[in-house]
Order: sequence, then structure tokens, then C-alpha cells
Amino acid sequence: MRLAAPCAEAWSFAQLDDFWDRYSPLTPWGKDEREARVVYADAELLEGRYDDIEAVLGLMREDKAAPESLDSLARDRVSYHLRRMPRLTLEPRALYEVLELFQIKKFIANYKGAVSALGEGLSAAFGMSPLERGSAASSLASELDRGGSDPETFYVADCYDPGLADARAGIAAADAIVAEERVRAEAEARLAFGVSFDGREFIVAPKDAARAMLSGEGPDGRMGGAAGRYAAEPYDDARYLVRLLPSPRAVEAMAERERYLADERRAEERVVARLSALAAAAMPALASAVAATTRLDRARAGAELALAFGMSRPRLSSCATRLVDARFVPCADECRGMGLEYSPLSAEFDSGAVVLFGSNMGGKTVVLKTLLFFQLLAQAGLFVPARTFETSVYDRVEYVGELSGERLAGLSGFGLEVWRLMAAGAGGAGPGGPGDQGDRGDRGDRRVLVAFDELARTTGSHEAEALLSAVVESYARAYEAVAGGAGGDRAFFATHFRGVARIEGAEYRRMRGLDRAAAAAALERTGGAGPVAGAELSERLAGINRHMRYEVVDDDGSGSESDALAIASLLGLDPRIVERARYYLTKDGV
Amino acid sequence: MIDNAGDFLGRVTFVTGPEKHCGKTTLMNRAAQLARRGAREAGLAGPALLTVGYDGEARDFLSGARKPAVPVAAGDVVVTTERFARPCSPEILDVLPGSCALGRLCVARARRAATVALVGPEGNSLVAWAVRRIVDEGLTGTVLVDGAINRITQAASIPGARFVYALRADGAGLERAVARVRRMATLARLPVADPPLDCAGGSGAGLGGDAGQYALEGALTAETAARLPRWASSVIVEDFTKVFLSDQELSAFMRGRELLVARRIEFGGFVVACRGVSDAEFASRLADDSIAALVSYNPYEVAEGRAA
Repeated sequence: MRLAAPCAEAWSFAQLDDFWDRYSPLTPWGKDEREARVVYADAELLEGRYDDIEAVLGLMREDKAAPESLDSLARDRVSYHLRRMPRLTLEPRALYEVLELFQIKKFIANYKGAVSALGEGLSAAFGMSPLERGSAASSLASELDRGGSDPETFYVADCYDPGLADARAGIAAADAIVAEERVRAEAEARLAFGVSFDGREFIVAPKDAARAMLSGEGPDGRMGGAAGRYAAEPYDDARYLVRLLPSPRAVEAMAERERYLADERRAEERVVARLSALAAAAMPALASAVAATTRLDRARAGAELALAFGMSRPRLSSCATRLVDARFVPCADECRGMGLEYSPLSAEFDSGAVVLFGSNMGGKTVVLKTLLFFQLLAQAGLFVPARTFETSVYDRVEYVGELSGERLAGLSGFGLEVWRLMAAGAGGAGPGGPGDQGDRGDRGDRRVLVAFDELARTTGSHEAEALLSAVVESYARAYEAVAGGAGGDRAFFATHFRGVARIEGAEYRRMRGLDRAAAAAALERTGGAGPVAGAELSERLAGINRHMRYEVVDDDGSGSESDALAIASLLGLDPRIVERARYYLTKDGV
Repeated sequence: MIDNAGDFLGRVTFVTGPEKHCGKTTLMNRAAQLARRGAREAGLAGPALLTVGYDGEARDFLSGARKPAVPVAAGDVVVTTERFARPCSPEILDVLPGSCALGRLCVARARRAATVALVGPEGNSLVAWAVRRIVDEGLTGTVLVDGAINRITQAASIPGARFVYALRADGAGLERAVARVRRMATLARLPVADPPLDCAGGSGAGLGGDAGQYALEGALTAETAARLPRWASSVIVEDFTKVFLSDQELSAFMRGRELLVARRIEFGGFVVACRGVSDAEFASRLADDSIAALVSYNPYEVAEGRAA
């Protein structure tokens, strides 16, 4: 199994955690996998995961004609049993604890339940075969079933060892004597001294009453009970704390009880040793059952997610990255929360370097997030919320850009950018520069998908454009040098800098941006530009959203004007400032 | 208040107190005894007994007995380690996630009467997990938890859960005990913000719709109180366990601002064990009939008019 390199920054940038909580495996092992947030780089493994999800989806569609479809009741039963499965030890050991035997029993009970709910054919499809009659696991299950009042509880029952029943009978008899003597003593205290213990271990009694109990002298001066039946100690200056002392018969019974307890312990140890031997023999089968259960659990959770979000199976054999109606769910959720319309992404990218221009608030960063979101989700073995998502498997998925709270001692903002640029391409072709074209260095055939958000944003525009051009060139050339692009790295660059060099082999795209005519007309209707009160801001944001075209289109390099001033105006910046900005823009010939 | 089984049957009760050696465990034992008796008469399952952590407390204030020893009867449910549960021949019903210093914890049903040592989870969330598991699985509806006051927040979100507050009063500490009772009575009766708020979510800020209301995330201490904005005439804390002001500080705070809780934790009353002072002296020093109505006294004391 090949895992992708850790990609925590890409994961964070793509806001995958906002979505990840909705992926809900039910078993401890499925939950472990979810928590690990593993990204795989093994296409065969991923295709297997997709096959499993598809298999469960087929069952969930309740096709009555299909003999193996699961009705909702059966699905609920499967979920019920998966949810109840406990974590259990899978190591062969000479001796297991009682709690471990309990967990094994509870697992087997729920495993059987899940297999039964799935039906023979379906459970076999996931490798969840019933426990074979006469097998070690089956023998263990039968033995464990003898201890416990139901299939999910366990105790070391009398039937396991003849010595247990005898010992426990002895303990019960001793307990009965102690209880009987206690009742008798309480009755005596009530009768002789008018004091009710009422089952209490001790009482706090007035000093005089306690003294009388100690001396055995009743309230009328007559001897009311046997002296020496009570123990007392001062509680405070007016009260004593009084306890009933056990009678000689009770003390005898307690001593007997101790002997029986030792017998019981020895018998229990014999039983646990015998059950442990059976458990150790069954461990390989239990490990297989856990693995198969985890596979089903994972597929069930993936299928539930796919159904809830209308997700589709990624196609992993494409040189291009292609998305059709791709919904970046965290953004769609945010838009819904703000009452804004969300536009799914449809786009196709074929080269090793894709430069994406766009105005402020035009959605280019969201495009980067969408791409990483989809790539990571696909490589986590899940379906994706798009009509189509075609891509290939990458060994690393990287993000280079601003992260909140990011600091690195001794480096300026630009220093940090360069450091991250190198880290993203360490050993790779891209950031090493044109001299590295096609040289995959010491990383073998490891492929990288990387998203650069506003690279070189922390330095002057002239040098930033030069640096950006060089990096774009590096990725474009490297891609073409690797078998015509098949299996090469792919880098996406979202940038404001229009002066990036036009490199052969690189793709240049832009966000379609603001529909200025429609926006201006709307602005007129809502009272024009100018400062806004807080309450109005949401309306203006909605206005921008309405007139922003979140589409990726080709960029031929002819356009130069961004939407920044128009957006500033729509947000309510003082019109005089906007006008002067336009003046300077024209004056400088930009 | 702690005189009959009806006080405990079918609900989750936290037996809390301000400190160690205040008699929580012995009080829980008495409550368990009453609940067990009542459950038997009503044909219900026996109580479940839990503790929070393992406090290492050597002796109980009320009984002077070595701690923690808890008598259980057949049918009771306990949460402890399997080893500590062995005397009651336990049937294992569930295993808690993780483990504590003394081993893994389990939910078990006693199959015979015995005295067991209870060990509980350290974290609030695991206490809540165990209580919910016991209640939701229908093991029993009567649950008694022996635990410090700051442990009840999460588990107290269980419908019907409430807490009782055990404390001791002796000659030297009488004033302090009275102050504690007054303070806790004030906190337990704090009004609930309307509409209820999630302090953890919308915290530390003025609330849009209601001028003067301020939801405070975390603890209300003398320091955080001093940093509150002047305009905050009403301050909302998550629940009363987040208030760490002394009796006097609390009184002063409430003279200047309204204090509300986002969530009420139901209060069952006080159980005061007097030592070196009489119950009457304590009541007289309390000098507040509305609070006195919430107080009951040492359930182990034999005295006229005291329920058995």
C-alpha cells in the first residue's frame, strides 16, 4: 500500500476538515482510519475502495428486483451491529483478561449479527464469512456464549468449572448467615435501645444512648442486650459513632467466606486460562473478521456520504485534471449560510503549469481549494461531489501560500515564501529552475500536485513576476519532458500579476470575473457607491456575488484591467477615491 | 431530600461536595441503600454507582472508615476496574474507552452482594459516556455519581440529572460552611438566559439582539469579572460550575450586574453533617428560610424527628 506524503497544509487549505466530520465510520477501526486522515498514492487500492463503495451503494438503492439489495431495516441492522463492535486485542497471548474475553464475545455477537443482516452473498463479497463450524473461532464463540446473561455480556459462569459452583454456593451460604445475623442484631438494637440502624453501616447517636448500648443497659435500667455487640468512638462532644459488631456466628461465616473466595479465584483462573487458549487459537480468524468488517464499515460510510452529497466515482487514469459541476462543499455551505449563490466548478487542465488570473473576490483561490479538495478526497478513497472528476494519482499534494498563524524564526515574509517553495518541490523538478527540466532528482517517479496561491506576493511586483515566470517555466518544461506529460507534476498558480511570462506549454486561464454592466446597473438601483453601514454590507456582498461570474475561461493575455476598483466601489469605498484611482490607472498606462 | 427512595429512583444524581473528606461517598452509600430498597419494591433495576477518578482519600469524614468502600447488592451496576469489581462476581456489560492508572474500566452488574472499591474515569467526557451508556442501554435509570462539583458539567446535560451538595460543618468551620451553602444556593438558583445560549460557541462578546447581555466563555473569576465591559449589565456563563467567585465576591458582582446561566443544572439540595455544632445551630446561623428548606442533615444520625 503506497501512502501519499503527509499533506497537512494542503488538507487545511482545502478546508477538508469542514467536510471530513460528515464521513462517519461506525467501528473503532473505521474511526481510527478517519482520524488518521490517510491519503493514498496507490491507484489499485483506491480503485478497490471505490469498488466497495459502489457495491454498498448498489445495495442501498433498494432495488427490489436485485436479490442482494438491502432494505432499510437490514441497513439499520448492519449499522446497529457495526456501531456496537468494541475494540479488541488481536495479539495472540497466553492469557487474556476477562475484559478482553468480554470484548471478543461482544465483537463475535455483533459480527454474526452484521453477517446475518447482510445475507450470505453480500457478506462474502466483503470477506465477512460466517464463523466456520468446528473452527477455532466457532469453538471460542460457543464457549463464551456459556458465560453471560445475553450475547453481549460476559461473566465467568459456574458452568465453566465444577469448582466454581461449589465455591460460590459456599460464599452464598456464608453471606446468608452474615445477613441473618445482621438482621437479628439490628432487631435487638431496636428492641433494647430503640435505635434503628436501618441497614446503615454505622449510626451517630447521642452520647447517653451510645453509652447504654456499650454497657448493655436498656432505657429502663434493665439489661437490654448483650454487651460487646457494639463498637463506639467519639463523634463530637455530644455524640458517639456506633457500629454493630458481628456475632461469633457471623465471624465464623466470614472466615468460611474467605476460604471459598480463594477457591473461587483459583477456579476462575483455570477458566480464564482455558478460554484464553481458545481465543489465541481463534486470533487469526478474528483478525480477518476485523479486517473485513473495517472494509465494510469504510465502504458503508463512504456510500452514505456519496448518497448524501450526490457524489460520483473519481476517474484516476486521466492525464488531464477535469471537473464537471464540482461542488466545493465547505464553500457551498458558507454561501448558503450567507444567502449567496454558489457556482460549481467545471474546468479542464492539461499542462504541467496552470496560471490562473482573476480579480479580487473573483474566486481563483476557491478554484485552488476546490482542486485540492477533490484530489485529496479522491486519494482518501472516497467519492467526490461532482458530476465528473478525472485526475491521476499523485504521491504528494501540496499547497504553497499563506496559512494562518504561520511563523518561521528568522525569516521575513518573503524568506518564508521561498522556504516553502523549496519545501514543496524539495528534490523535484519545479522550483529548482529550468536547469532541472525533466530531472526528477532523488525522488524517483514521485509525482506532485501543487497549488501556489499568490506566489511571491510579499515582494515587489517586478521581481515577483520574474520569479513566478521562472517557476511556471520550470513546471511546464518538466511536464513536457516526462513522457509527454503522462505522469508529470502539475502546478496551479493563482496570481494577480498580469506580467507573468507566457511560457510555451503552460496554460493561462482567468476567472471570468465581474459582469460590470449588470453590477453597475444594480448599484444604481440600490443607491450608488459610497460608504455603507454595516447592515448594508451583506447586501453589497450579495450584489457582488450575483454579478461575479465564477467560471474559468482561457486567458489570451490581452486583458489588463482587473475588477479591483469596481469591487471597491461596490463595497462602498468613497467614490472620490475610486475616481482618483482610475485616474492614476489611466495615467500610468496600465 | 435524601430521606426516601423517591428522591433518587429513575434519575441521575451527582453527589458532590466542596472538598475531600466531606462525606460524599458515605452519603452516596446511604442514597444507594434507599434507592435499592425502593427499586426492589417498585420492581425496577437496582442503582448504578460511579465515582469520578480515584481520589486516594484515606478516610471518610462521616464514618471515619477507610475509603473508598462501597457496598453493592446483586443487580447493582458499578463502574470500576474488573479487579476491583471481583468481590461482587461481576457480569461485564461494557468496557470504557481508554484506561486509567489502575487499569481499564468497565460497566459491570453485581451478581452478589459485596463491598467493592470504585474507580472512575478522570475526564468529564468519559463520566458522561458511562452515565449515558448505563441509561441509554436501559441498564438502570437510577444512577448515583460520587464526584467533585467541577466534574458534573457534561454529564449534567443528561435529562433529569441533578446534584446534591454534601458538606461538613464543625465549630471552627461553621461560618465557612454557612457561606458555602449560601453561595451554592445562589448559584443553583441563577436564572436561565432566555433564549438559552451556547456560551462555548458565541462567546466573549456582546449579543446582537439584547443590549447589555454578554456571554462569557470559560470561568467567571475575580480577574475575568474585572475585564468585563462596563456596558454588560447581564453576564451569561455556561452553567454555575463556571463561577469561581467567593460568597462575598459573588454578592458584590450580583449587586452590579445580573448573572445568568445558559444551562441550568438541577439542584437536589444540601446534606450537612454537623460535628461539634448542632443542626439547630447551623440552621440558626444560616438565617434564611428559603435556603434552610433545601438543607437536610446527616442521614446517619439517630435523633428525634430524623428519618431512618
